[in-house]
Amino acid sequence: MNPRRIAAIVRKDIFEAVRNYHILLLIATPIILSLLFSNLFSESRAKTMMPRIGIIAPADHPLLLQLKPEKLGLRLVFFQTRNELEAKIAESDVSLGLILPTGTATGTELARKPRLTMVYPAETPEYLVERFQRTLEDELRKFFSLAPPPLPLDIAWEPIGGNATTNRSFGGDMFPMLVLMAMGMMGLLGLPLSMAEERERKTLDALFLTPVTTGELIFGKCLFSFSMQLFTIFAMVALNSRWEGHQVWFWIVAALGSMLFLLVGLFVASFARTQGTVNAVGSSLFLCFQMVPTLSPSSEVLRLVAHLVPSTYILRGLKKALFLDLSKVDITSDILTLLFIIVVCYSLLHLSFRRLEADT
Amino acid sequence: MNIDIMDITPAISVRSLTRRFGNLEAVRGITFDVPRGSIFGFLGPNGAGKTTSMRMMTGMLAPTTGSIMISGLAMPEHRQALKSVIGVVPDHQNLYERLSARRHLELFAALTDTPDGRIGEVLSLLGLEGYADTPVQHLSRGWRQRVLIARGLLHRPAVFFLDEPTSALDPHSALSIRQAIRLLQQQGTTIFLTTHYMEEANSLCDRLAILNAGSIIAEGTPESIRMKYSQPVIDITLSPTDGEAESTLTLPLEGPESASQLSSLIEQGRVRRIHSREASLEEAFLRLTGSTWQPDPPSRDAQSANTAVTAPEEPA
Repeated sequence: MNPRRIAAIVRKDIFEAVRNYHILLLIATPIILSLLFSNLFSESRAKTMMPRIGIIAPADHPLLLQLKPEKLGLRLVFFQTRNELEAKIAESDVSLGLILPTGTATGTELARKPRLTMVYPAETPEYLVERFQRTLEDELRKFFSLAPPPLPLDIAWEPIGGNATTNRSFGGDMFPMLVLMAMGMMGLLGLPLSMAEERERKTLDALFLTPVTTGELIFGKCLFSFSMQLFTIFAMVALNSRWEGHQVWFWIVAALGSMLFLLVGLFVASFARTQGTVNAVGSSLFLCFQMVPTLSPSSEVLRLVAHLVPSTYILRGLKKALFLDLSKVDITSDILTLLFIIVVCYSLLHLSFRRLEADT
Repeated sequence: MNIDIMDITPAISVRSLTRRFGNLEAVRGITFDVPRGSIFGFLGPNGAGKTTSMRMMTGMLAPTTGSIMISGLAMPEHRQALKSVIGVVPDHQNLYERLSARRHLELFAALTDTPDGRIGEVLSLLGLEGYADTPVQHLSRGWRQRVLIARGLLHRPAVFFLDEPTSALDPHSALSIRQAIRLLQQQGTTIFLTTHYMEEANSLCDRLAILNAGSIIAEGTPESIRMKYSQPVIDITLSPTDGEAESTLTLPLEGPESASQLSSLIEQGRVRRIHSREASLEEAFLRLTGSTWQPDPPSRDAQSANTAVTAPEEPA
């Protein structure tokens, strides 16, 4: 690898990019959207998902049998510890948590006024919390066959998770989704489009008549796209006012995510010979990579499929780094998964390019 | 006596070079040598295999069989080393439209490890100083061709390949490019060029090879090819007949048929003027290839360049 040649390729791509409105559009779109969404929709946290309720209690707890979750359109997920439960709520895997006192039904416990604890994400709108409070109290009264007031147990409502102010200032889930978009646009479209343009204009022939190697050329092009991805994300963060996330973790996820998108983009570039093909294939992949993780909380099927889509781990990592308390939520597993996928993708790409070179 | 082996080995040595595309044999076992410091021309009709041969010589296409040596180095075994020995001007203008000539040269100087000082020299050699910072998309076809040539010779190649360098150019641009080619030859560069223009081949090339259907059918100096494959002719200007204008008839200078035809015309009193002349290279070419001469239609690039150009005029 010759650094002078790589730098020359990057410099050439920069000079071309400033005159290429396609590339400028790919960079500007996520920035403009992030500004729009953070300002216009920052309060919107409405979710259409079927709530998953996290429970700490035995599955045969009499109160749970009384609640009849299926009838209420709820799905119960059981946890052993409060830390686990809070982490899942913070990651939006679970909507609310219910920590039931053991032996609620016994007369002794009732005499002691046991405590039932509800935990919910700090950013949950108040009206939703109130609605759930009323539903829960009604069910409890039915269970105990009591008329109001008082209930024979205390109910504690505890907001948990990250910083609600930060979350709102970044437009909630919208901001990480737009960061994902910034990575995808340059990775899945910008890089393969630039390579297809070189092929179509036959400038690639001119480059290969110089001592530049395939590795140097690809590395130079990836370096340019990578710097554009990070520049776009930096602009989005900088223009979206308050920054209270975990900077180091955020940039680690952003860098790894950008690399992953570039590797997938190289796959597209390796077989898409024209800009038209890149547009078709790249856009389809881009939609898939963007929509599956973003919409996964809305359906069980999508939630399952999302595990197979690499961008899920990027989005999860971004959300954790931006909004959650990392002392309670584990981000390293997402980063390790991303690293693993990157290594696998790189190895596959390396093999396929070696084969292409051998063929020619 | 001390003889440098590099001085006597040909700059290009091609032996039994063949290229097949499926069932089509585009190049059929061609063999030729190009002496160092000479201008060697490849002539041939469309589809004769000129560009395919050149692509194999420059390492852009693997031969099916045969061997190629450039400056004593075998292609494709020493392809990487040969990249710094050869310069190429392709038949299509593969330039970065949004970059200026200077940016192109800066890029290729970095890729070929050429000192930046050479950029100014090349710009000046091709008269590009005035348009060095204009994006090439705003230049005319002639000026873009100069940028291509500048790019190709930036790293001082020992062997310079040009594929139809003056195709679809106006006479001024073509002339200045031919002058640049001659200048390069004077500086010791070996030039290999393919062309459609007989006049260009005749005036520029030291040696020619005529390619037809993938095979070399004639090789030698333009003069020797002309003499060998055609004969002197006489142009007879005929006086006008009823309602028809004056016309010219061309006949071979030698042979009984020409003599009887000429005497018959003289008897009829129709001969106004007679001029004898040497046969042209074009006539030899037509005779060899057995085809009617049809220059290539201008490429799409050329057409767009001719219609949408906001290009500066050629320098005086």
